[in-house]
Amino acid sequence: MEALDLAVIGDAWLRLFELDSLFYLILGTLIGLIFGVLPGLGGTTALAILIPFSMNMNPGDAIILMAGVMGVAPTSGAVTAILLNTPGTAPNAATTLDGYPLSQQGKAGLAIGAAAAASGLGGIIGIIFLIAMVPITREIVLMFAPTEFLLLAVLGLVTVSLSTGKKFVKSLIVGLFGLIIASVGYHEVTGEERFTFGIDYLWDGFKLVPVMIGFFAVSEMINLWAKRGSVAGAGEMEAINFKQVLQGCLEPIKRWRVLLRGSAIGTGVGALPGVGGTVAAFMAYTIAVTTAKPSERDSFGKGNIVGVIAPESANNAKEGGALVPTLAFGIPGSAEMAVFLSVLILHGMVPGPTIMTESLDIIWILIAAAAASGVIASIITISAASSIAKLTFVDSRTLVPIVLAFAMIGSYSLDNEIYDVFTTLAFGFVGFFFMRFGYPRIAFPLAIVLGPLMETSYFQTLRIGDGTLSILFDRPQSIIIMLLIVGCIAYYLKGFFTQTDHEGRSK
Amino acid sequence: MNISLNKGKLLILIPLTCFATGTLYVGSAYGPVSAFIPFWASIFLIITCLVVLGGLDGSDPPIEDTQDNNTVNSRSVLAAMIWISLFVVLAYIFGLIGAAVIYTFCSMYIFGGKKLLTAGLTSFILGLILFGLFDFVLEKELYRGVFLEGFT
Repeated sequence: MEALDLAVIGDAWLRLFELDSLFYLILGTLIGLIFGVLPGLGGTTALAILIPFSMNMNPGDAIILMAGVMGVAPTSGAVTAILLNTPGTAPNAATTLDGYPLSQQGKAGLAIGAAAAASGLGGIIGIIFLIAMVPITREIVLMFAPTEFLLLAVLGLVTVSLSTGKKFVKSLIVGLFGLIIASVGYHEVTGEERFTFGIDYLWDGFKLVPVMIGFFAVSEMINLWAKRGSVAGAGEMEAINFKQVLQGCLEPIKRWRVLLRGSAIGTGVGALPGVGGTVAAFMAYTIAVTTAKPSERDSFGKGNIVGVIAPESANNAKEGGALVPTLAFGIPGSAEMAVFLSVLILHGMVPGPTIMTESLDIIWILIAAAAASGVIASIITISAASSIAKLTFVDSRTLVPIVLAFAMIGSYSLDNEIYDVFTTLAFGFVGFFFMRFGYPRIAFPLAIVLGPLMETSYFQTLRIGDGTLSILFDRPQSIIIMLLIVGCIAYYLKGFFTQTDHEGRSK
Repeated sequence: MNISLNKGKLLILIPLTCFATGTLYVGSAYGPVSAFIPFWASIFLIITCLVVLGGLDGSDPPIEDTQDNNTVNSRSVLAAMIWISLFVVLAYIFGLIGAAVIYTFCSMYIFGGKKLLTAGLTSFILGLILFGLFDFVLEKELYRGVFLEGFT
């Protein structure tokens, strides 16, 4: 199948206009908006809960539903960031810096309009990048052998941990724990039983879906229940002037340079495993401040509309970039992408060379759905911002049992197995403890997904290298990836020793 | 270099170190290919846990920041964990939809202070939605509890 087969691309777009596809797209977008507006939940939790429901659908519809959720969460998260100074998702934190002051000045509508339009346009720019990358990535992927996939998996875990800054070692701990959990059950190649202790349920290892649902959804529910009160806490909400919203929609077009720059940053950062939307949004914001006219710089943090456009365009554009390593190499760049990757695997699509050659139709459906959902989300946000923000006032005593019911029943329904519910609960506790003690959870889903890939690639590497790993040093691709791994660790150590030295001197 | 051992650190790192020691012990008995990930991941997990325990990773917040800045206290956390676990117990006894209805009603009425009618109506509607979604749309037979399914 040609990478840029116009018939396949056309079919993907036409499929979106079929009634059931349109239904799943809008449903996914609405779910993404609702989960995005509730701080702490976000797109990852929504995706995890939706996995069991997607299993009854054909792969195309499942991808459309998931694409509807992905990337939409930050759009609605901006609404609460602007109106309540409470970012719905982490990347929206940068939007509060100028969004909330604008709201306090009675310009909430302007900020929401600008944020929604910047999100939609940023998302489209990210998708254009993905479209451009599909043919190139396919060629690159075909140059990679199991040795490179083994090293890429290690690189993915290292860069994800590195992205957590000072918490690098803590993130590694979570990742290593995830790798051990991923190794439970029969070894795919040798057939040897590992850590099953005679329990039949563990023969196939821990199932991906109950683990993911527990780790993300149930852990958040424990946290929410313990915190009490409404999801976002008490807050005063400014009224929204619809005329201002429409004016705000034009702002990103008037300031197209800011929009393009923010989107480019988002796309580039998104393509790096683990760096994620928060870094992209703050980077776009910082660059917007530093490149502004000197006379304008003082207005940042006090209600400059550029401070809303830059981060919002970046955090939505990142999805397009993040899909490149996920689809091409099976190396997810974020927790959300790791959960999405598990959806692909459960639907029989193997990321990497196979998906890039045999399932291009699915990739184009994903691209079309992601682009369309961004636009739909922006329209809904523009027209119903106040109602969306009111969702954050829902009491945790109402929200928790409802989300928990869907999470637990969803987990059970996948295989009609009551033990899956126990697994979900157990990993809910694990996820909660990591969260409570400040351990970044992002590395866990990556390790769970990458563990089997690492094991298979390791075995294949040994076979190719006649029982040794010397082949790792024979191929230039492998050497480049190994240098990247060493470079990442050296970068962390340099930062660590510089900081220690600085602290020692200041004492 | 200061080695600060706070309660939070010990609560998570001691079980993790024990876990990794256990998996290392069990994992080292497997064949070389099967043991690759369990063995190396356990060794690195022990090392990284010890690094954090020793405060050598540089992620420790300043002492003034560790003075219980967490808004959620341990008692609330324990209560939340028990309450969330109760869903599973209810599900095992009354089945998944039954548990969802009872659990939502109790959460809203007893703990949320909602009116009897609001709590009752919300939990009833949730039960109907779950039943309709799983029984009719997804055609999945859900677990109906020990009384109907028998003890397993």
